[in-house]
Amino acid sequence: MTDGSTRKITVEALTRVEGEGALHVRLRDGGVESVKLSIYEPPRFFEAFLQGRRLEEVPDITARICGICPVAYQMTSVHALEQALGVEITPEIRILRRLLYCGEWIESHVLHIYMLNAPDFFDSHSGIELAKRFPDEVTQGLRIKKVGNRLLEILGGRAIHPVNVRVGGFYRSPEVSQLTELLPDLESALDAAIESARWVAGFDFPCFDLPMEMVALQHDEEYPMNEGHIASSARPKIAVADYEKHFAEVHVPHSTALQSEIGDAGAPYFLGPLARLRFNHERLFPQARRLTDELFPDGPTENRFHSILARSIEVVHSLIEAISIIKSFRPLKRPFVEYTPCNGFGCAATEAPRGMIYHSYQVNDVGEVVTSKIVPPTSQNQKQIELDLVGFLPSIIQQSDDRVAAECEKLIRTYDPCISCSTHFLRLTMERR
Amino acid sequence: MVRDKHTLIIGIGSPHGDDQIGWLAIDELLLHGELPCRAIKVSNPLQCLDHLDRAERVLIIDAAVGMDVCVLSMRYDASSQWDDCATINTKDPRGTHDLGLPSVLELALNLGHRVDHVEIWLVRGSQFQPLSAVSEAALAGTHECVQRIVQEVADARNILGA
Repeated sequence: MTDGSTRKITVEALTRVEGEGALHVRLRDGGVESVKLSIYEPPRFFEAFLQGRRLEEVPDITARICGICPVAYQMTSVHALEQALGVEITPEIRILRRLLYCGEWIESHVLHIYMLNAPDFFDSHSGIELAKRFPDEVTQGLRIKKVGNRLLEILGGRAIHPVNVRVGGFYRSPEVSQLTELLPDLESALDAAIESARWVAGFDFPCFDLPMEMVALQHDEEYPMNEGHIASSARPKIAVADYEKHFAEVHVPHSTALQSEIGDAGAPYFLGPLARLRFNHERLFPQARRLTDELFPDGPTENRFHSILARSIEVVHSLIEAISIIKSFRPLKRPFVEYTPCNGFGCAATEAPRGMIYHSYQVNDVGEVVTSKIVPPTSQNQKQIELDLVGFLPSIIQQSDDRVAAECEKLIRTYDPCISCSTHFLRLTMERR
Repeated sequence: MVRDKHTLIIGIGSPHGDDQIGWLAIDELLLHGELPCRAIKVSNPLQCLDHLDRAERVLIIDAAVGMDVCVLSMRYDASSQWDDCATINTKDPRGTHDLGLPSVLELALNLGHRVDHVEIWLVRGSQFQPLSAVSEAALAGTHECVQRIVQEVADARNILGA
């Protein structure tokens, strides 16, 4: 819409993102006046639901925040609660948790690559439309996704909202045969994923690499999923225990999701596979590292449109790791570690497919949640998305409104935003007289 | 049960209220020991994709809302696009992991799978609360659906002289 010198572009409902959000752009005299990523999905009050609930319920309740990345919520909550309870899990449980996370990364990343993001590079409106042009590639993608889902079913009891995760470990250990039967499919999926990554590398990527602060977990020995310290491209590393000293959530009028900032200046920051790859390239399995060197000859970039490529490399890494874990898997003698409820505070950060996620819990001595804090990756990325759009718009502003809207959506989709996740919060201020 | 490759019946369902219709229909069909077909349960439409090329005739049973009859059957016709079809309207999937049956069949078509042999059997449902019991009306509809499928499959066998 144009009104005098003001041009207003509105995307009423962002497509091919999880959840419901809108974008409002106001241009004045050829410049960008404002960009608002408006998340209008109603708050879902999960932090309030948890108050007074038994801590055993937390992994299953938080898993309900998202149907695509429930494992991220389960993993982060159990690690935080175990810290509050002083529980040390066994190395075997830790490895099995990584395997579960591999399943989630595979299925979530592949869904995004093939059905949501790849269509943008071919001006297709959907993955279904893309399938007509690239049936072999999309069929391959569906096959890779299926093996990720199968991993989740075996370890979690079901692919969506798994039910086998508990504080201290798992309710039940998988059988060796259940996992080894999956090996041929995993190995075939690995070949397909490598081929897929090379296919993705051939896309015609727009260049958008304005400087930004990248943030991700970093681990000394492994590609980070369940633990590590917080690495930043703009400041020294941060211990997860100090997360709340460095990161803040703020409410903006145009969004029901809280936005996150880092540091005293309230800077935006960027989470996700590109950031993970930047800080953990050396922790990839050799085969995945060689592929990264082949596809990113100058090293991982800051081009947001390369996120799909980083995601493709992480699929390869996850498949290699899954195969490796399964080949050496022995059934858990004890699938979980016992604990005694006690007063305590615990926090944890893990890497959801779309970026770092943080939880903290205060529990009491009868095993109930007193307070909780859940900070999903999409709400952390919101402010950076808005800043990116301000930087991106001048390069497309001459195009028609429809085209500008479509190009903005493409940039937003590179973040793989999960809007439903980002609106879980409740901030209630009560005044009593 | 006599199993052949000619007919495959797929029931789409979940444990939630009338969404169980597809699974209950398969359970009831399996009681018909002489039915010359295979029957499977799936939990989401995308899983149908793996089975479309495995039979000469595929019947998909699912729950539906908004129908003015208890049971409705139709042959999938890609050219008519369900969204424009006067018989039934489909809701757009709300989530990215929520690919509805029409989208799956469109995807199947684009991936080169057969879809011209697919028949959709819809049974009217009314409540889909998590883990709730199936309603009496949906149970009756499921039974009617199964009886009609059994009759049709048996008739087809007679016509073919199988």
